[in-house]
Amino acid sequence: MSPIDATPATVAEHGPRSVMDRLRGPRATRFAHAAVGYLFLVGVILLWHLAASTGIYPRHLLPTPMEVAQAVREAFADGDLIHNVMRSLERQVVGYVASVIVGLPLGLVVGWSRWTQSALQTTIRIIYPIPGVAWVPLAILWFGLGFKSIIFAIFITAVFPILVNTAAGVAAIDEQYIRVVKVFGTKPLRAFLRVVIPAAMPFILTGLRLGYGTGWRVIISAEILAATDGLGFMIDNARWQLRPDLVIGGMLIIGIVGLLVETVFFDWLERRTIGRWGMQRTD
Amino acid sequence: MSRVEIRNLRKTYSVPGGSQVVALQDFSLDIATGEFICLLGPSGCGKTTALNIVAGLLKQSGGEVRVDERKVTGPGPDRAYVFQDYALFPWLTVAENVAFGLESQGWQKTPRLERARAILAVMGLDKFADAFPKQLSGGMRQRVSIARALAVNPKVLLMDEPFAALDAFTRAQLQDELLSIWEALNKTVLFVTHNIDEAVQLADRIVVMTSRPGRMKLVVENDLPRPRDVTSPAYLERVNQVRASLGEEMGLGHHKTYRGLADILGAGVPAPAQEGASHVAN
Ligand SMILES: Nc1ncnc2c1ncn2[C@@H]1O[C@H](COP(=O)(O)OP(=O)(O)OP(=O)(O)O)[C@@H](O)[C@H]1O
Ligand SMILES: [Mg+2]
Repeated sequence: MSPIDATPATVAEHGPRSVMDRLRGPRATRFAHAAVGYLFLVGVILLWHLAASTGIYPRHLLPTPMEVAQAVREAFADGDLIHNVMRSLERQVVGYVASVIVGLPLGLVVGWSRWTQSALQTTIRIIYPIPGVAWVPLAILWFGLGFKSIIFAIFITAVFPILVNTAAGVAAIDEQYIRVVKVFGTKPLRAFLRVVIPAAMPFILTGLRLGYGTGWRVIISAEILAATDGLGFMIDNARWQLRPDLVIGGMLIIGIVGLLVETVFFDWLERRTIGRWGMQRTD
Repeated sequence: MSRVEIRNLRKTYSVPGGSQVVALQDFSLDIATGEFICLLGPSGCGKTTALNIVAGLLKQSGGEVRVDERKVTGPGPDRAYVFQDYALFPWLTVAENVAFGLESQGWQKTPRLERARAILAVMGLDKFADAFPKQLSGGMRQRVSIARALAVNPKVLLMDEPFAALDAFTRAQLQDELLSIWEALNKTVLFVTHNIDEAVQLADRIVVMTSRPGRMKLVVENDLPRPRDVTSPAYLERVNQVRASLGEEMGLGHHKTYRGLADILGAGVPAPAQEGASHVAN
């Protein structure tokens, strides 16, 4: 224990606890929970192996896990896999950064004023449910097959969760912080940078995470429709070659690359900011 | 010469449905320089409303407030506020929080943090200068909040039930500390509380308010010498005097008859014995 007085345990220190844990008291350790997760995964792979090797399902449609691993290894060895991963990530980064550059400031402005909120709300509500991939046909018409269309699709997909969540975060700022700003006569720009943005941080991070996740999902779909490389293209191409091992291998790579950024990076970012400040969202 | 003059303050709120709530009426008070005033009254009588108007956070519906003859039209550097819920910024370190008022006034980083640290050192909080508020106990957070208010060197300190959320021990410590600060700096203090003991402990004058709409009911001159001995007869007499006035205001001592309640709850029928007190199945 640090010399600092103990405060009530925060989510930051103990991680989110399930309802069951909170009712019963935390009996099972974190380690046991992690172990259960990995064991279950091993079980799934074993079942898959059994289903594939006994041939319940036609072998040429369902390869074994080992065959999938082999296909991934080969694709890695001839540089194909790395090339496609890099292409997908490149598109993701460009499209995502653009959506952050546009969505974040716009969200701050929208959240700041009731009028902008009211003005944009209806329009955004209609556009928001359109899945990113539904923009691809239009993008192809406008920009042709390739890089620009895909970037456009990711941008338009990621920008709305970022904008909407940022705006919600600004709108939900605790009245007490506003009062402090008023009492000390803080100038608007400083208040924005020092108070409004950090106060909205839990929402902003949710938006950034959501935007990234939906963007990544869309990129794959867009690459299936409008690209000649990238992971989406890779699995679609493997389908034409009747290579289910490579299709499944590619899908797993898509999942793992997504996991690494979505979970590992954003968890780190969250720990560095709102975790350190003890402002985790508990809702 | 009086520092803070409150003249015929009136405040009405419009509530959903179109009706109006009169929160404050004919509220007048002269506060001398360096005086410690406690505003005491039942919940909802308009204490926070009055304080917020003096702070400039709220527009009055009528009347006026002057600080050093100057009419209050909004918040200003002559008045600082200490909130009940501390209102520290969780994303700033303790020192940065204390320096926030200075930062707002355009102070450069080095001098403002130096000043913040110096204040924290006097208050014995220098060990926590680089900690975040979440690492501090409630009592420490409120001390940091007081340090933040003091840092801008205001003339008037406005405090809205600053110790209400603290346990009795911490509260006593902070009351003591506040008095030390007040004696050292001779600030004018307007302190809202609904704790009689706290008011008698701290104030030069206790302003007892009526329930809504809040008016001044009684002003108790509290000239007991400091440090105040809470066990002395004079002290207890003062507490009783205020308590009597407040109890009358709240209609205490006239028990209502709640006979119907027993029927609703089926009195006379003993509750079935329970096995285990917990509702949670294990
Ligand atoms: N924004 C508002 N809109 C409508 N009514 C309000 C508003 N703020 C306060 N009131 C009402 O005005 C009255 C005075 O409120 P105020 O907060 O000043 O009381 P208080 O004395 O500080 O009470 P407490 O001891 O509970 O803090 C209350 O009846 C309250 O319901
Ligand atoms: Mg109040």
